[in-house]
Amino acid sequence: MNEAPVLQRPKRWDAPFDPGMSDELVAELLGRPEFSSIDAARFPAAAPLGGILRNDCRISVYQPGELLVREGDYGNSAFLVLSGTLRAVLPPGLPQRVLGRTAEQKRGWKELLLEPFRRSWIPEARDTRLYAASGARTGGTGESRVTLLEVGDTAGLFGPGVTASAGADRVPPLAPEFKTAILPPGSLFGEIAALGRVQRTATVYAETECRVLEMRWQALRDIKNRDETWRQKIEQGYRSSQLRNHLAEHPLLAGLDAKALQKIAAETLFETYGSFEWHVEFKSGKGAPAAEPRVAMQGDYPDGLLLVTGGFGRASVGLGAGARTLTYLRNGDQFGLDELYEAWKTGQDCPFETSLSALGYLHVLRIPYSVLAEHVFPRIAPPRTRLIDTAARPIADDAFLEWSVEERFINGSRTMLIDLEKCVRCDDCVRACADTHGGNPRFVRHGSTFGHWMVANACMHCVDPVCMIGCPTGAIHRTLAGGTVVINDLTCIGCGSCANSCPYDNIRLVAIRGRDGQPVLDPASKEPILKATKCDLCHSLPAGPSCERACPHGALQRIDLRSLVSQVARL
Amino acid sequence: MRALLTLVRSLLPPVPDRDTRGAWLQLGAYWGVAIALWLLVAAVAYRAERRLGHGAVITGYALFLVMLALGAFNVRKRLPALPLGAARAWMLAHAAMGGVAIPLYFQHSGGLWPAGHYEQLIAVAFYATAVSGILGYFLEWLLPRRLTDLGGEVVFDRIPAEIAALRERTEVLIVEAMQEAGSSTLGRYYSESLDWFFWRPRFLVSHLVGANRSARWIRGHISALRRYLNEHERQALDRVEALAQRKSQLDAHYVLQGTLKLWLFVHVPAAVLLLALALWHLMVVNVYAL
Amino acid sequence: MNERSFRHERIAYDRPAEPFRCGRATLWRKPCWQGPGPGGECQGRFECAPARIGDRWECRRPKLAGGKCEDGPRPDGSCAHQHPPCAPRHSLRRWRGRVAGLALLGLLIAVLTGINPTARSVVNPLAIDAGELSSVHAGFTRERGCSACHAGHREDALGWIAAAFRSNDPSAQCLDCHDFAGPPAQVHNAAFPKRPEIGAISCVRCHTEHKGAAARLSQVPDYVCGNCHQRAFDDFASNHVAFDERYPYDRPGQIYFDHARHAGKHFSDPKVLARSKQVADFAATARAKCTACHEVQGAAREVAPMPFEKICAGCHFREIASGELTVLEPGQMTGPSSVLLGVEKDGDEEAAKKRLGELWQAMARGGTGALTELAAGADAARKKKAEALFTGLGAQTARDVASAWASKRGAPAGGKEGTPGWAARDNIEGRPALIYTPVGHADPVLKAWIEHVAAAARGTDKTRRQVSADALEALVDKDAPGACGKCHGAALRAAPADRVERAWKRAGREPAPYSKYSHGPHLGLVDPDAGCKTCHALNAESGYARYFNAKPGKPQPYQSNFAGIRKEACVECHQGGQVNSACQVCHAYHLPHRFNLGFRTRGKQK
Repeated sequence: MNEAPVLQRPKRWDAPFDPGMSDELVAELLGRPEFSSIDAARFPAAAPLGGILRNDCRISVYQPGELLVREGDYGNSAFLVLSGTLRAVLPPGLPQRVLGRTAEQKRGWKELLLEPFRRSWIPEARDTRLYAASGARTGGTGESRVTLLEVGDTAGLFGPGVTASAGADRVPPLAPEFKTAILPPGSLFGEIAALGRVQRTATVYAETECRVLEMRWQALRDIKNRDETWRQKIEQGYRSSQLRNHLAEHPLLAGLDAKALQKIAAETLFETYGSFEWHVEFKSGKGAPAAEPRVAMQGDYPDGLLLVTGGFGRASVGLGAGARTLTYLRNGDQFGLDELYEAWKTGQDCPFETSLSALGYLHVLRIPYSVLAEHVFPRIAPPRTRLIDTAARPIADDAFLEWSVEERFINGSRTMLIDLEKCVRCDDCVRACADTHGGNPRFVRHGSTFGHWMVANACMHCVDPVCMIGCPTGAIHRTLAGGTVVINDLTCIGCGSCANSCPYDNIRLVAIRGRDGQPVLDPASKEPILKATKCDLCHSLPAGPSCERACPHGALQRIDLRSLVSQVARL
Repeated sequence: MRALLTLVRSLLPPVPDRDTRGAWLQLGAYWGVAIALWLLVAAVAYRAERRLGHGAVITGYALFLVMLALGAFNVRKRLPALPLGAARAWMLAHAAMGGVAIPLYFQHSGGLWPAGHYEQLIAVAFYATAVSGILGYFLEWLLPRRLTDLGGEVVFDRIPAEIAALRERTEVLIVEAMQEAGSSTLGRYYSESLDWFFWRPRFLVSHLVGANRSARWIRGHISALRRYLNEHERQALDRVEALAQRKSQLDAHYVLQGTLKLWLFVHVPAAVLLLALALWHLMVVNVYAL
Repeated sequence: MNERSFRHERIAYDRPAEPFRCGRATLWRKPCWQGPGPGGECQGRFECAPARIGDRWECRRPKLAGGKCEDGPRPDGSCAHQHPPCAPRHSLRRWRGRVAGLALLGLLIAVLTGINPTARSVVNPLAIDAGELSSVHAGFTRERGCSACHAGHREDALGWIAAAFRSNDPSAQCLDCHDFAGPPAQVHNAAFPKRPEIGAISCVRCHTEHKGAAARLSQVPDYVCGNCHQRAFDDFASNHVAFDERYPYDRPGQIYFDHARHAGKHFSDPKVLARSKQVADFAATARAKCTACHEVQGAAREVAPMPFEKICAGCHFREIASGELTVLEPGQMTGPSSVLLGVEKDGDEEAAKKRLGELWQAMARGGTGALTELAAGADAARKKKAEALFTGLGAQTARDVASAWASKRGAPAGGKEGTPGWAARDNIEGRPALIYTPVGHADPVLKAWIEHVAAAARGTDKTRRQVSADALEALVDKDAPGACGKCHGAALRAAPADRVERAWKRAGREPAPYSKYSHGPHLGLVDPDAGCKTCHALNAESGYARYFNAKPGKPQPYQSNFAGIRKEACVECHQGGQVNSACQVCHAYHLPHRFNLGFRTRGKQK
């Protein structure tokens, strides 16, 4: 009568990427040169190469004009071109209106109005019938496709006198202002976004009808870890794309012609410091300063400008027996411009005034001084402020910054920050979160405090979401539109890798119950089925995060800490 | 026009009122609008009086609407998913409308204390709601600062668990020290004098008013006990003292956070009663006088 | 607990919305990790639910509760770590909701429970009690209760609710008992045809009941008056309208009495003072004291002068009692005979003599009856008045005189000059006549003659009108016999035909129902005899006499002897902080109030 509902413990490949992948297709893939060169023996029995191809990949056919990936989207898969021609649109890219972005589906008013009356007091109640029904994963790439041939204003896209008609078997060349690169069969693209947890760097569309192999990033990770050729291919592509895109879009290099850019690109070095999986060390050792690899030392002579392209770096000056953090750098920031410009201006050597170290991991592009002196410095105005000038501030003013860097809260793009002097501890925020998630709150109103600020245990939707690294099924992913990190409850298998990875303990595993209140157990081990849960920024609600809107005293905000650090000057 | 819209938008939360000037501007805007509306109602009622109409009917209905709007705050809190505006905006509006309801009430009733019995009940309910509201508003400004000054953040519902854990740790410490030293002094003193303290929150009034009776009590007992203990036991006693101080901090949190919850026990029921009575009053007036 | 974030595997989410709290926590023990069930039942009896794997039982305690225990489940499959069940308590929020619910329930019960069975209403009288009734209303409404005045108060709930959607103005019930000299529901109990927008008004607009037993319903605050009057003012002293500049002397009196001349001239005139000691004494008093002539004791709105006999006769008796009226003359028309016969006085002599001859004939036969008949004409109703014309004239005397004149003999002489009454002798001009000498003030014959002539002068009979007008002028001339016209002339000339009788008396002021002034309370503040001048100041230069001495056909504007009373005189005392200056002190809103007779029984019948 009150039997605990029984559900098999989900496994990694319970929900294959494409249920239609057949043995024949897998065999065809294994026959291709890209895969035949891989030593299949290096793969473990639990996740063989064939299994990876069968469950973590799918073959899709794209018609001419259809977009495979859009610049700016978040994505979790890479693509291998099997046949046909694709083109990647180089920066600055296609206009936004062509890309056909759709807004995220929000929940309706009527449903939300009736929700409080339908709530269940059973904690973490689930309708287990939904789990049985789902086979396909949701999230990640959308199913509807955008095609350039049907896009409204095609005149501007294809140049004067060129007509594009749907149903053509080839997309005509784009207008001259859109630079494209051909992706022939055998090329791999999209791996940066998939592995790097960053946005797609370019839009790719099918020029002719083509077949592509879409590989989930878990597949890419596993193959890259087991095969040297793939690893090098991926890393090289990673470096060159990063280089190309960052150089082209950086404001310092704006306005340079293609030739100059090419020259700069040729001389620029791509460097990596620290560990991509820094969170492991951080959780165990609390990130002692010694663990931060030095990128540049105060007092050394700079030989190139450092452009940060990924990760975080700490800019500091020596103070007494320690180092005082002046600021932290992330994607888009630069280091060393002041000193190099000074050297160019005065003709005398100017050493680094501050040090740079990697927090976690740090990707930089190093542009040599000679290139800068030739192409860049003559064209730019002198920097108005220097980083070292901020050292004149009272030391106490930087205490908040030091703390947030130490705790790595700088990673968050929507950190939950509570002003304890305004918070009346009413728990309205927790109740609002619970009310919008079926009676289950998704954060804990507790966390590290600094003075009267507290960073609560709510998902910060990190710039670098390390939680996504280990997920075997891709249940934890970034939404296409906003970049919010969400967990798909239907495909989560409760392995806990995301919860263990999160350096801030913002993900919690919960034991789910059926609608009757009984715990849902695995029939074999009789262990309760767990699901990972965390804040999803209320992305499906029309009004945004409920917690922030529910605080009657404005004590709670979801912010990027950088904007607060500049405001908070006093303890 | 655009500038006006920007100003209006900036005055509506949840843009947090981080900088002081912006916060005051926000506060001023809400109170300004509330006072302007009150003056409008007062002017309309005055004009009605001059035309031998019923000014009390106008102020009465206005007051009723204000009360409904004030009560709607509770409804808004139960619908967090809908885009009905940030709770911060509602709170500012609630305080401003509540403040304006007080002179409006006096305008309507024409005096401090009415003649009829049920009207006296309305007056009691109104005063209870208004006074508790003002007091509560003040507490919600003051107590978070005191809580933050105390340090040691704890979620209210976890305090019993924390106290139980502290108590357990203390008892384990003492038992271990007793076993080590072979003497029962610590245990005896604990069960005679100290376990009362670790049982549940104590010295509540002292913590509420910001005094430090608890610290004095702990100091006294620790120094009284110290002379009977050997070196090892004294080390244990030091750790017990630290635990007692943490317990004291928890007690302070308990009473201050509890106060932040309990004042609403007066405000909300009184407001509910007031709304019901106001509705009744509306019916009675329409049956007997209008 | 420290400041570091919770380890995710050790601590679960807080659930502040849950309706129940673990009972152990309320007793300050460690709460169970399960928490109470949704129905409030304890779920923490067992620390885990052991699972049967093959033939063994395994502990299934989650990590956040400590992980799998060392002891393991008992052989019978029950958890080794058991605790007595707790009694889960409602959360604080639930308690708060219950308190609110209780308050509402209490209110509902209080509203519906009828404590007083005689109240005969669907709700508890206390729940509608708006305060005590004033003592004047409380007594007689006790039996009927609220429905004595409130139509909506009734026994059935539906009717009670339906009443909310109708007008329930209690004013209709006020009028069951209260009535006024004018339409009760109108503003000021009067109609204002020139101000159609001023309509009916509800009693309760100004009179509010339920203000306690001692409340005085008739007292209405000033601002209520100010709410209606367009020329609003704050209080009497500051910006109440100024009094009319002629107030209160905007209309002339009926008797010509020139205060200025008397006070300034006559009372000091040596000739007057020489008449007698009495007169001299009186004049001296009158010069100094207003109270010599005006009776102040018991005076209310007006301080009337004392009667003629007391104050005027002393000086004026002689001129009144002197003079003689030639009523009838044998040879020619007199004023009176011209009126009687309807013939012009100075008209055709022959015709006049003929008519007179006929009169003498009739008079010789019928005596005064003939004269009366002539005066009254055919109208029997006027016979009495006609008889008054000849009061005191003996019938025989009349016949004798008439027969003498008819036969052109001399009439029997009678009566000495100066004797009051009728006499047949030679008049002042030496001609024989029927003479009447006035008796004194208010001589009835002269009075009757003047009234008769005045009435005829405005009557319907055209032929007589002119003749009567001429005769009237002769009669009310200030030098006419009896000197009636000296003081009463203007009033008599101005009086309409049917009001001549009233022209003799002092008229007093027009009624002013909406304002009230009494001299009484003010007398003690001023010199009792001459303090009247405080407010009533003589205006020596006024043209008072002109109006009364105006020639017929050339009327003069009236100007009082006295300067108008100014508001400042009142404000000296009636201002804020001193004497009460409320509207109701000097003004009344209602016309005189009276109760509807039978209001007591009417109230009971309904």
